[in-house]
Amino acid sequence: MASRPIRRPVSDYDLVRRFEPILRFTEGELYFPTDVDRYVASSSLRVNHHDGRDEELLAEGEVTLENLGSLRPLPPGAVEHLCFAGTASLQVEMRRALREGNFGGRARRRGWVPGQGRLARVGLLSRVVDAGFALTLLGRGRVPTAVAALAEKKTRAIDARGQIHRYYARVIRDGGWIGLQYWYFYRYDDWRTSFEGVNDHEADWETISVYLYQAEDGSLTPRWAVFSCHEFAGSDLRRRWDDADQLELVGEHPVAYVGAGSHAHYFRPGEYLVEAEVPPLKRLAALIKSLRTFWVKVVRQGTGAGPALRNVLAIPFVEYARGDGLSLGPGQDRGWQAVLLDPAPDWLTGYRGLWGLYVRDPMGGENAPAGPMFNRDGTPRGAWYDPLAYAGLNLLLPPPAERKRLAFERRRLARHRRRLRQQIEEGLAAIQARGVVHRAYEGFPGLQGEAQSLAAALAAEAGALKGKRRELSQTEAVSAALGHRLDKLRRGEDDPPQGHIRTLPSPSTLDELRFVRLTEFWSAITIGLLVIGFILLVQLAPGWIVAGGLTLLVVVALIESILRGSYPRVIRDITVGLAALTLLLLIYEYFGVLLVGGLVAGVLVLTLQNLREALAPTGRHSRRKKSAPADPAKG
Amino acid sequence: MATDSKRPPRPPVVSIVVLIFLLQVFTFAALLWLQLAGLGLRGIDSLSSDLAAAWLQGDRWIDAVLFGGLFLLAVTSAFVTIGLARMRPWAWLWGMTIQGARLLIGLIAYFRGDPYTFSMLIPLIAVLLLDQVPVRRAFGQEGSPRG
Repeated sequence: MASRPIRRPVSDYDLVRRFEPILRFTEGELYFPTDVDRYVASSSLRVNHHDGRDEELLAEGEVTLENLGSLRPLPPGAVEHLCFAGTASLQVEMRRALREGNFGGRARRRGWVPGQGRLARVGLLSRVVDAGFALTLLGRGRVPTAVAALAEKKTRAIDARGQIHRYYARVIRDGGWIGLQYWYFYRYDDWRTSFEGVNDHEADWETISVYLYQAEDGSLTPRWAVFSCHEFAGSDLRRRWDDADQLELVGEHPVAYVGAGSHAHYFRPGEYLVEAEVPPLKRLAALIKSLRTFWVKVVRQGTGAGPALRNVLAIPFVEYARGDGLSLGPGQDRGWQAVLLDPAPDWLTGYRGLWGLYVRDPMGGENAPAGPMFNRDGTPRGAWYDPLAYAGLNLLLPPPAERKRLAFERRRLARHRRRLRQQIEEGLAAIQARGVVHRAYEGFPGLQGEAQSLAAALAAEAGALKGKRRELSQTEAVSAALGHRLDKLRRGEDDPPQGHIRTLPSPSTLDELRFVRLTEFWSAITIGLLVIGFILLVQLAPGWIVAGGLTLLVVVALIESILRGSYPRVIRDITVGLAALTLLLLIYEYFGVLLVGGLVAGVLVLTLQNLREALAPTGRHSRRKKSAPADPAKG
Repeated sequence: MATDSKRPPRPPVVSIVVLIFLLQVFTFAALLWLQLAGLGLRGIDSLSSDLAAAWLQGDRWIDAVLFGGLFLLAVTSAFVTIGLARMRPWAWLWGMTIQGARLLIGLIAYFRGDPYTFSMLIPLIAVLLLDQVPVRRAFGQEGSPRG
């Protein structure tokens, strides 16, 4: 829907309110954007030391937004963090949660209905990686499940005194753009414990931006909406205002569908299959991708189309962004309370610590995030200090500015071309004149020295002239390209609305599954079956471990392919995998033979080439043969 | 003379694949004949030394299974060869299945200590040829779903 341009001068606050987004949540969500004041007042401030010791700096009730922002010296390696669900009562809370059966299924009690199991949506290898990831949770730091129960209890108690739905906003004027950046604070992220997701952590900061530009008549026109969403970055985060397929607008308000528990933003409602990369497996995943690319592009086997080259070592998770729950925003279930961050308050600029529990998770996902301005390690956050680069807008100008810039560049190039033509003309005249002199030196041995130095100077000048001609040709091509783009923009033709998007997430479907319930059941038990099968092999037939294991994997993959209706693809993948393994074994077994064979073949080819060259007709013989029929007078 | 003008031209590499399959059909037929003639020991030995041992112990049941398997493989290979020659899309899938089974049997035998690894070369070449882009395209497999 085209937006009505704003012509009259408006305050930053009015501007922010005018385009404030609408957030649509999934049924069963408990945590909504809210104020930081009551959260901070209900938290303690702690410091986690390098040796793992957790020390309380300010008790619950003592922390305020004012003292949170005041600088405190910290020892090296220490991490400052808030603590919303108090650690002191965790044991009590755990016992209570156990008694009340409040450990899992909280979202289901709040009305959330899980969709198709995530494991049924992905392949066998992804499930193996997922099983490994689940096991790592036992070893690495994570938010205790009782914290989720306690956070829910505290949230309900705070909200009972009155619900506040607030965003914090700022206006950025940079590079010709006017950016309206909205920040949303959530008290807790219960993606793992409530919605079968990747992680849990106290506190969550998410952001949405709207970018406007000033048209030639002075009016303000919205151009882009930028939604934060997991690991997506740059231009993948934004959608164009006129892209009705990808961006939903209610009046002048962009609509975001919020992931249940994770609070990531999506442009379309649905269930998304999210692939979480495992940091320790990143190198292995890159190696596998390179090998597959080599297999497809160099060996020319199979096809590289579709998800063939996706990361098979990523952990699959389903993100529920259904939008069937509470809707926040103008004209929705509840409205916004807006706070303009101008000037930026001390709690924003001065507090570099985490906004919730720090559990020493080396992978980071279970530690609470820092505020809008900082990353978890205290370094500046890109979305705040370089919002244009964060949205991939640092290479783009607003359309009117782009037209002006194109026209300016063309004028500059035209001047440059004129200069080049003049230089070429003058240079050519000069070398032609000197060339005449050089030719006059011929036949005069006494002028041999002058002739040689003149020839060298002429060669250098001719080279320089050639360079200028090449530059002129290139400049003309650039100028034509600029002109083409300028004409296109002047005609009012825009770029394709999704041309900038490299990865376009789309809600997942399960249409290809033949036997949905059976596939879900199969997906849930496969890893267990494989492990039991391997254990039985080890115990009962140790001599058949490799052969039996291979057969077991092939049989499991074939059953899976029949259930998923992907038999042709799987049989191809299995056969090609077996062929690759066979190839490696043959190279290993016959390496010596292959080496000798290769050398013999090389020597034979070389000898043949040499023989062909040696036995080829000589130049004189060839000339004679060729000239013979060309002389009819002799015949 | 009636000709099928609608049939796409057969890429040269497909002809090579057909020849390989033909060779395999003859090999299977020869092995079957050897077994029927009571001389199947070497054929069995190339598949698995364990099975050969079972043969030597007079286990006729394994021999019957082996004969049945070989017969099935020979008949299926014959049909697939005809299908490949006539450029039928199903023949590509069944061709891959047969070669996959042969590779699996060969690998199992290898990991069980069978020294005749060179026998896996023919199915390996067949798979590499069948998986070539022009061959896949000729059999309508290039745009197949890859979920």
